[in-house]
Amino acid sequence: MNTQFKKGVLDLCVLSILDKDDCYGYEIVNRITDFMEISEGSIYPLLRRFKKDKFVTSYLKESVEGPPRKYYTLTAEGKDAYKNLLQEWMDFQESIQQLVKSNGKELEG
Amino acid sequence: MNKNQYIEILEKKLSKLPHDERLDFINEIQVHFNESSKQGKTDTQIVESLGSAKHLARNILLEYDIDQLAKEKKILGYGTIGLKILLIGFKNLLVFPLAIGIFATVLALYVSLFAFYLSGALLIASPLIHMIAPSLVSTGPLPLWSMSLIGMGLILLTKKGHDYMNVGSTKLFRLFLKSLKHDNMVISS
Repeated sequence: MNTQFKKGVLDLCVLSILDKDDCYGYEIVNRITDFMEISEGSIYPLLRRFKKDKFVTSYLKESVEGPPRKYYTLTAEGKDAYKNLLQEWMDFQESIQQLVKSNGKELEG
Repeated sequence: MNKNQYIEILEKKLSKLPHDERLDFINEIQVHFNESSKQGKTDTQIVESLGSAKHLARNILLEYDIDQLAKEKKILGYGTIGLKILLIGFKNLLVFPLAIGIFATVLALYVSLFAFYLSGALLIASPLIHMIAPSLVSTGPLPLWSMSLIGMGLILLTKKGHDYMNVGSTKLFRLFLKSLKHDNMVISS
């Protein structure tokens, strides 16, 4: 998949995952790579940015083995950001679909 | 490269971060390694999907640098600002052309300000210059003293422009920081 596409929607992907459950970094990576290939390292700077922007808070939870896991929770601000971004994405993809259709190509599926 | 080497590079590159933040981040990457290897991945495979330690550290530091810079509330000296923009630009080649452009524009504006001040000063001094070297000054139809007056007006106007430019370039700089913040996520597949 086009890397520029991914760059644009990674924020949305992470927000959507955290909207459902609290997750730790590796879990988020896994849930994304189930659907598409990304550079896994890019998730961690993004999470730091989310934390600075107050979209998420974090807490540590001991794991059976190894160092404690850092879980992220979406804040009210984060939920708002998610809602807005999701709406933008919906509008955007609808416009693109219509544009492509109007030029005579049917999207498959 | 194995896990320990990877972590070691991160530690070294991130030495600038506050101790707690660095520990916190490295801990997170350690969890990533542990869990990945539980899924049967080798260190080499994990490093490959994480991306290089240098690249990861650079992304973290860029974010950190911008935040630190944005925290400096007082208006910085413009030389420092230019230097810092250049430094950040070097760290992220994507924005380098933009940084050069902004820096060059601001620099050019200040150079032309200097030229205005200089011509104002020369106009004020023109009666004096006329006394020393009359051939250098041609007044045309206007009396000599009016040149000094025009010079003073020019300097006052330039000072006004200078003030606007200080405010403008500070705003431009903040805008640049903001755009940098939105554009520094780089994902390579």
